[in-house]
Amino acid sequence: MKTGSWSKVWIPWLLLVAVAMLFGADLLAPDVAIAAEPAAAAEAAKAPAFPPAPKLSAADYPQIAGVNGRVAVWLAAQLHLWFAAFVLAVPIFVFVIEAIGMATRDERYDSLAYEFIKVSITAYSLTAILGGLLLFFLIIFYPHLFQYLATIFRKSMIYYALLFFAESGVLYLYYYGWHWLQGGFRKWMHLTLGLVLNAVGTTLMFLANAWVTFMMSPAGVDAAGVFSGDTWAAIHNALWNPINIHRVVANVAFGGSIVGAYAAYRFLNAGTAEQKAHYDWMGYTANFVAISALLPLPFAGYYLTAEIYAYSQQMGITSMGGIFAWLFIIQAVLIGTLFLSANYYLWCGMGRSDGAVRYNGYVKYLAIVIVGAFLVWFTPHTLVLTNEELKALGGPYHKFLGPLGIMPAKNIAVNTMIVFTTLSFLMYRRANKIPTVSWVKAGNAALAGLFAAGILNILFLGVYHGYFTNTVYKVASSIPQVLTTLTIIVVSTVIDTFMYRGAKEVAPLRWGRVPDRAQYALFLLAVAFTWLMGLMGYIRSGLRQHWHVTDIFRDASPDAFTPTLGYAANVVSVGALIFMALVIFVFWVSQVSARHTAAAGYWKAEAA
Amino acid sequence: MKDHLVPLVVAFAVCALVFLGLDYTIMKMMGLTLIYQP
Repeated sequence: MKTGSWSKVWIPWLLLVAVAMLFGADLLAPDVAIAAEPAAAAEAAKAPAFPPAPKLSAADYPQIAGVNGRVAVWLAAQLHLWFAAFVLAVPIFVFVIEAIGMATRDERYDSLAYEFIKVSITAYSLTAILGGLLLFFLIIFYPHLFQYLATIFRKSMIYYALLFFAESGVLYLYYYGWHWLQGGFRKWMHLTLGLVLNAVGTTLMFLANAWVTFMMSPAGVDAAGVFSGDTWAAIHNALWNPINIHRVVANVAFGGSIVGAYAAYRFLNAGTAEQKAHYDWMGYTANFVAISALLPLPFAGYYLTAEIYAYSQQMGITSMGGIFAWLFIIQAVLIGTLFLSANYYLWCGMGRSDGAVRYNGYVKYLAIVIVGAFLVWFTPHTLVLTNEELKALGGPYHKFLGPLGIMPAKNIAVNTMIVFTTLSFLMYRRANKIPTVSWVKAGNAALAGLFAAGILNILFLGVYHGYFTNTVYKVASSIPQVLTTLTIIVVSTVIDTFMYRGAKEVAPLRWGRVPDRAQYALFLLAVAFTWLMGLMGYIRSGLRQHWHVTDIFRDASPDAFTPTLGYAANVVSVGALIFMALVIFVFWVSQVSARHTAAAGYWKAEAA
Repeated sequence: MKDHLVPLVVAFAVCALVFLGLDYTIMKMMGLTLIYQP
């Protein structure tokens, strides 16, 4: 058994043992205590079956060897989450690519899917190891918090550990059985294993999401934190589904960007034209996956934020209007970086096609619009100024830039970036093709009309409702704005797909004919995603402020304060650097596993 | 030129109407109107 396999086995055991140690025989008992004596039973029925949330003091938090417990848990949780996001996302698009290969009977897709899952297999072991580290740190540094959460979620923790076994088993069958389960019924079996792997992995994530969201929006407990015994109520809390949706979409985008970085790494190291062509195709596919998930991601983020506001206005205001507001400016810069690098990669990729000359002239206009939207997207509402600057400006708001700092301007900007990225995709798809259908003129007119009317509608809703009505209209109009963007994406893709069905190729696509700098755009995409996830994860967790569990379980540790943004950004950046170092290790291991060294003269010659 | 312009204008008009209809419907579902009424 490989080292990775061991870690996948012992960590669920560790989880099981930890929960068992905390609860002993009570683990398998029903949630409501049953007393042996009838009189005592009546008394027990009146008493609460579960204790209230503990009221702690600083002495209840162990200090060990000068290690800061919060930073240790923070880094372990963040690193675990990055790897978990990656290993949960990769099987999703591996399943889709394998299915495409089956449908088209094009073996290249099957090989590509296998290579993707191969990259993630080393990362699985790291995910498990980091999960174990997080568990250790939680038990060591926050024993009372862990015990309280385990009191409420002990059943789901048991299922989590069992599902972990199931996931490991299915994953190893899926990966090691890839070449065995080929052709006819066997291939269907393999694809089914992929489906089961995704179902188990997603369920695991949903269970872990329940623990995290319970800490933000507790349910199934009273004001003192006494658990009602209804585990489903605690799981199905107000923010559970918004986080589930956001994480599934974000994981796919993140996973795509990491395997894109792997392809870029292999492209830059490629020794032959064939290898360059292969890894160019792999990088393109990974970028396609990342962008396809990136486009709907802001909407999932808006939904999550809206639900946070709905649950607690104070929490919502703290996030975007309070102490974390400036981190959202950094978020805007990073999201803009994602859009710019993804578009840049597409534009560089047009060099693969001899027909791209027809579209190259339009790229500069797309770039101007996307950069313009990017600038609006990260314009702050309130500037950080010295007294002299404040006096010179006449207040904290700039008269022209100030209006660009509020949400209606941001909504226009992000929708515009998404629409123009869609346009970049359409141009890329068309670059090497000549349509043969009779309705090309009408189809192009429909697309031009769709984009023009859609963009005007986004502007109308953003400007009119955003600046000339009240807050209710301002917030409400963002919904038709989002639907306009989604309509443009869906309708334009459908029209374009039908229009280019049976289209002629200008010339064979030249995979590998792409500049090296395009590969650095893929690296940038992966780094920006990683950093973004870390910073946004910190905001989500930091919204609880001085509470372990919002409003019911107070954090009494010496670290029960919100650190400065610079400090938080440094911790996240250190985490991102460690993650990237580990990812490079994963890439290297994936590469060396395919190498063979001929050790001439080392082995004993076979007897003749 | 006319060959291109007419389909474009028609497509634009149709799409604009569809989007306005979408705006109207969504705002109405939220108890609001497309044009602001204080």
